Amino acid sequence: MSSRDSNLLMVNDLRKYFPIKGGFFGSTVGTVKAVDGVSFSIKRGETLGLVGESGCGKSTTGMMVLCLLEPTSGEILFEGENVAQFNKSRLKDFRRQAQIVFQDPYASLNPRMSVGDIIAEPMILHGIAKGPDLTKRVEKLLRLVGLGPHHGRRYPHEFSGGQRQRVGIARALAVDPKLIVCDEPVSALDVSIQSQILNLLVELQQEMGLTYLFIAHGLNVIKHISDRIGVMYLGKMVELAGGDELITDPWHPYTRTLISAIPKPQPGQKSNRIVLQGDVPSPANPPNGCRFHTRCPECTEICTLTEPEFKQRNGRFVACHHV
Amino acid sequence: MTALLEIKNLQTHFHIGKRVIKAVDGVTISVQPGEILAIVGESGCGKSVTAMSIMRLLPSPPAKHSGQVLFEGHDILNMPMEDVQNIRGKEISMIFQEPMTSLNPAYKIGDQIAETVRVHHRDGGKVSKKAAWDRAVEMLEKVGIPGAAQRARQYPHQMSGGMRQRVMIAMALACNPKLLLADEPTTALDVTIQAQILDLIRDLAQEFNTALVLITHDLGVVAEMAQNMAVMYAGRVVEQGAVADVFDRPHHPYTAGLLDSIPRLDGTKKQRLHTIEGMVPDLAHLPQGCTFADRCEYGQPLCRQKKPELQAVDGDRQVACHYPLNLTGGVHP
Repeated sequence: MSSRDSNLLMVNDLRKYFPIKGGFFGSTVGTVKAVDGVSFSIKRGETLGLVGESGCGKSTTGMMVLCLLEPTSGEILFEGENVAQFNKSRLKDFRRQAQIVFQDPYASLNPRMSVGDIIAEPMILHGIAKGPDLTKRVEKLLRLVGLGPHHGRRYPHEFSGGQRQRVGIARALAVDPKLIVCDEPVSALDVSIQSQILNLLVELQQEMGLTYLFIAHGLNVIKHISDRIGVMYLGKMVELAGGDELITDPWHPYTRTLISAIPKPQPGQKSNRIVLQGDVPSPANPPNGCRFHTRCPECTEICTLTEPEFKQRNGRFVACHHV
Repeated sequence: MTALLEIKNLQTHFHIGKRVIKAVDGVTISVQPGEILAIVGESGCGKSVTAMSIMRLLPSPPAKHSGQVLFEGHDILNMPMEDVQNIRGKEISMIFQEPMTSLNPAYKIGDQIAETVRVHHRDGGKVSKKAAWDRAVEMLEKVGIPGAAQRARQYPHQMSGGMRQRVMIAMALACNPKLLLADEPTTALDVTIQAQILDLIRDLAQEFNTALVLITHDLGVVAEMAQNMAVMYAGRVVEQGAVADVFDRPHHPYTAGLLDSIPRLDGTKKQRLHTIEGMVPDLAHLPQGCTFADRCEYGQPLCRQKKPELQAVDGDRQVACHYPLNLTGGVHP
């Protein structure tokens, strides 16, 4: 198998600009560069974590990967094929193979459908099963995510947050996908429930050979589940490396800040916290040069002038002049 | 030293139709002057309702309080509303989780802070509008807002989430309160902004010698900020003690389970995390015995029959469990 084939997904220089409408006639007065040149690949069976603060473009990236948003430029290759060139039937098949688990288990389930119907719907749409076979599959999926067959007749409001997230996962698994984009799947959950869902996602991956694009803002959650981690800042990926390497030896100053900013559950261990000054700049008007230079503790002149390239060094990628 | 705030067996029950929801069901906590106490627990455990009860912010009915909330020896729960008004904002202030919704969008932030200052000095000599405005600008400088004089003339929508939370802190501390209740003050913020705000709250609490009750679900925040902590579960305090001791030797199985279920940065990738099976009991139908018995891996028959009371163990620790873990004196069955 060539190296290209071992990648389930390849993303090259992906960009998404949203126009800002304004003025009398709704003309475009500016653009929000939500994602501005992001490249990565995910191997089969791998988990790639995307981490960053709100507005860094991680969810927009996830939406583009699933063809739910059209990129402004750049290409997405799924099993070596450019998804932009898919015809209608191939796109439908792609939508079966790539699924999503959303952040908010309260908003992502239809309150008027029973949980069994919610899980059955994608199988009916894709013509995978019907009749008694469908019922059997729904029961199997419910058991797979740790619920019972009797839960199928109930409605979403009868479930707790953690149970709803299990339903969301069962729905994603119903069509036997290859890739699942998990967009902040545990952020809305309590600590004791969060660990149940993380365990479930890991078990399912090992059993079914799933590939995850895991988006979250909590670095400890990302570190736990990911094989490799990409750190995003203001529409750019600033560092991409194996999980352990990234945490123990971060190269980019932003990654270092992010790691040091997390309150660690170890009292007495006075952390040498790097506290950044100021807020994240607006993606409508990003700084020149390196996007992080306005807040970077290690900024020098070159950082304000030229944008650092996202370059490979020793199998890791980093975009910084001072590595 | 006398306690600044002493809560004795506080119960806040909501009477809705025929149902009684026991959101807070027997909380006993004390806060010393200048202390930082963290109240930690998961959603629905009653930590926010405790804070709201201290301030008497819950509409009654449906809320019904019993027990005592002694602030400098005076019971807030039995005070006339005018006296409570004098304590709110002046003696005890509160910071809420959502900096977006807790500021009035129609007023300049400087005016909102100045209003607090003027309202609370009504009895002890008047504060002129000018002096109140100057105090507002001074407070905005204190919380690290650059260009405070210009920023004071702006409206909340012109500020970022972190900036708005700074404004909330400025407003809360404008009258030099003795106690600050911070209800999840950084949950809505990004980590790098959270680090700024936590540092700010801690430094200012020290500078103003304000006691701080920090309500949070994040054990990392507890470890970095607080000296003492109380763990709540289903409306009750299940464990109390110094933060370092509790993290080191949790006595209650729930505390131990919580500490074990956080994914750690130095943990092994994809290794199975500890979980607490099941979920929080329905607050309208609390079990007769220990509220945690159904999820507890060490549960015994006694746990389902008798509710454990909060009792002193190991010196200054308190735990509500029939079979506490990690006792220096005893061995767990």
